[in-house]
Amino acid sequence: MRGPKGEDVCWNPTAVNDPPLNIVKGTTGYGFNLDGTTDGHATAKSCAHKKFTSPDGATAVDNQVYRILGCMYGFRAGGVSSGLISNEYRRSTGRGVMIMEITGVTDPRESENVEVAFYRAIDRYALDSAGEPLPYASYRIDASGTKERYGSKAKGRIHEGVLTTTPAEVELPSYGAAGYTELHIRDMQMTLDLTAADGKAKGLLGGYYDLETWWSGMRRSALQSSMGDWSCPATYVASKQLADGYPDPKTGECTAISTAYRFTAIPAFIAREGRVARRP
Amino acid sequence: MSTFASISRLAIGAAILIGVTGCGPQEPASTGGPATIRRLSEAQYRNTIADIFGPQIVVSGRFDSIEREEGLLAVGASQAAVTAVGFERYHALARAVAAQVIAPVNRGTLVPCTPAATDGADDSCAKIFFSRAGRLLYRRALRDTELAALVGVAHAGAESRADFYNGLSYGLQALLESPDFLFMRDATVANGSRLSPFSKATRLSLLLWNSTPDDDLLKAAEDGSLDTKAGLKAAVDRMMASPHFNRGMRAFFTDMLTFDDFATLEKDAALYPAFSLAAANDAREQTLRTLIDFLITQNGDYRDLFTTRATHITRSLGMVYRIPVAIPGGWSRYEFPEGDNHVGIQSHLSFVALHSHPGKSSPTLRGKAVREVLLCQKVPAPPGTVNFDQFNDPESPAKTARERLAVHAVDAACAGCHKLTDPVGLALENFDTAGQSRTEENGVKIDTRGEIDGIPFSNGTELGKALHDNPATAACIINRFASYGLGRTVTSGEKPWVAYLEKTFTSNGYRFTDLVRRIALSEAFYAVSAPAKTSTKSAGAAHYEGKS
Repeated sequence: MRGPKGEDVCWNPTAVNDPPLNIVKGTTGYGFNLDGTTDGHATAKSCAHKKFTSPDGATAVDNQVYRILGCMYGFRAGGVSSGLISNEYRRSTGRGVMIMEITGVTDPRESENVEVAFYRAIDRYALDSAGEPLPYASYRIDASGTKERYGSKAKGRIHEGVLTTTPAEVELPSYGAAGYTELHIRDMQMTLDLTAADGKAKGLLGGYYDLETWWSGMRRSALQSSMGDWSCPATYVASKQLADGYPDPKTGECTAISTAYRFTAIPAFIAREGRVARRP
Repeated sequence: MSTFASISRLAIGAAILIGVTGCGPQEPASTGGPATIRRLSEAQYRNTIADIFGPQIVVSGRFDSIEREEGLLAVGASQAAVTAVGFERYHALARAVAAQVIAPVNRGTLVPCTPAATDGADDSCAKIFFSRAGRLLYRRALRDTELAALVGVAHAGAESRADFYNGLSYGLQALLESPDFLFMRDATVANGSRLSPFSKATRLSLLLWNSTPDDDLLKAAEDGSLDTKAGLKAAVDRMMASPHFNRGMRAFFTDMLTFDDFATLEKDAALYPAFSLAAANDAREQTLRTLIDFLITQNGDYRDLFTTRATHITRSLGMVYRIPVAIPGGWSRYEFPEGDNHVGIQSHLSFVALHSHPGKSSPTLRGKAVREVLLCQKVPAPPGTVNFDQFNDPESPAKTARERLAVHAVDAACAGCHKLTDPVGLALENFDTAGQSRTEENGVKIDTRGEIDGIPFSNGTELGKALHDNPATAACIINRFASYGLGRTVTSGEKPWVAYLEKTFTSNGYRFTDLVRRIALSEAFYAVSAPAKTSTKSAGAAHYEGKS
């Protein structure tokens, strides 16, 4: 509420001019090469930006969201966002539990034509005594009548037990910062290692996050902002400057921002009414 | 004279039985068994309070444990006493229950009269209350002297506390602490040859409802109709149609399947994270639901319990069994697919986890449980000199339980019993200690071959078939249920009756409800032998009618 007229500056980020955000200057970051360039020069579908090299060795990957958030303690690994507000809330409330349904698997190590569909679950995580989600729980899909919500799909293949998808535009469910949000991601790519003996599959999902949708989720993080962890106005300005995908044909300003998420998936059953649930 | 009367009674009984169950063998004469004194179990105490005063009365407290005897707590209850500490607990429970009954929120419905004044005694209202409550709690009408004593207690209490209801609570406490409530004594008639009508009502009510007789059943005892075939049949029909019947049958199977052991069941959370408290609770409920649905609702063949793939599951159980659950929020029916090794109740989590160690499975414990719990066979206790060093040797090259157990085969002190248990339990080695399916142990394929009573099998599914076909399976449920109802083991004089039950159980397709009805309608179930001259393990009972 520090706007000149008492505005909430997370909801009115242009109400004040804050000092510029400290952004990531390093060269290491997770992500996918979304624009196809090696140096991040502007293309028909991207604005000029700097590239990262992934810790796993992949070069020229894009992740401008990390560039914005990477220097904020609360958004770093173990910070309040990943440790409490987002991941912990998802575990304790059961909100934002994402279901990935992989179909077309003929062989868990080698399958040429698989499809991944994304849904939101309406059941909470089943947790073990350490608070970790248990595998092989059954989850119902959020649906409106008979129509299952979300349901974005991506094509892919499994090679040597690793699933890789081809770019697709998806709408994914999410819950964080005490509120529901959506991940509207274009050119979404995903890799998922299905070879772990304990069934826990580690993956990376990235793409161009629609900037407006991204900011819609970010501005709800007023709690962290009020703690002085970050500045909404400075972040908003940075996001406008660093957005690197899908330039507006008229203004040339990019309307999407590259991002990537590391995640762990556990095997689960999808319980559909009147249908036999699929084995994971 | 008594012989003639006995023959007449049998003849009439046979005629009515034909009418009830169709043609078949007639019930043989039975000498009965000794009268018993049974201590009310915790479940019976709770059911009784709920049935008399309503489920809103909270029974919060601990009870002295009852030792399992001859496979049943119900038999152990006939040998249970009350310790000094146990009596203190009963006293605390009685105070708490009495306080709730006379509380303003309940007194309007639970006290059947309004006192002339609430700040003093009202003997006539107290008498009405104790007549009603005392009859239900003592399972017979109170004698005049008992009633007068309770009214006196209430009068003194009301006067000293200037509160009628407070006085009433003192009397109610006395009822709830009385041996006449806490112990069920078999009173007899006809020269001690059969139970009195009130004891008959109590035995029947414990058998079918695991609770005290209700008003209708006591009326049948009072007006003599319970001693007629028609009256007994009417009572049994009514009670088996009641929702309390399922509760009673659940109590029996809880006892038979040793589900009281769930109270101390633990699994290593680091090794078996899916075995949560919820999963353990649901495991117990899974088997009880399966039993009630299969045996009572569907009137299925008892033996098919060991080969059925149908069961009921929850989300917690789904994680253990690694199966999808249609309704994650509650219970749903489920049928394990062909080829899945979850076949029969012996494959349920409630069996394989309950009869295992916290950190590993146990073919020995599982085999012992199959023999003792499901087949009523005896497995001797291990010798005091048993040496587990070799079995538990961490340096042992043995990879599977079968290999580890091989050390017992060469130890004469162990081999005899392990030959009884291990070939049976090894068939269930496809389930780890937390009930999850597995095909390997330490990288070695699990061998589930075994044999039971000369019948070889290659896996748990075939073990289920062997149990289905084993004559001991049917004989066991008959023996257990009869012992459960009698509160003692079957005597030699009752063996012809048990043989009759076996014959009719077989001819009627092994229907459990038919067995229940037949036992409840049997003359033999209420027969009492002459008091033994020498002391027996079962306590003797008073021979009095309990009338004023």
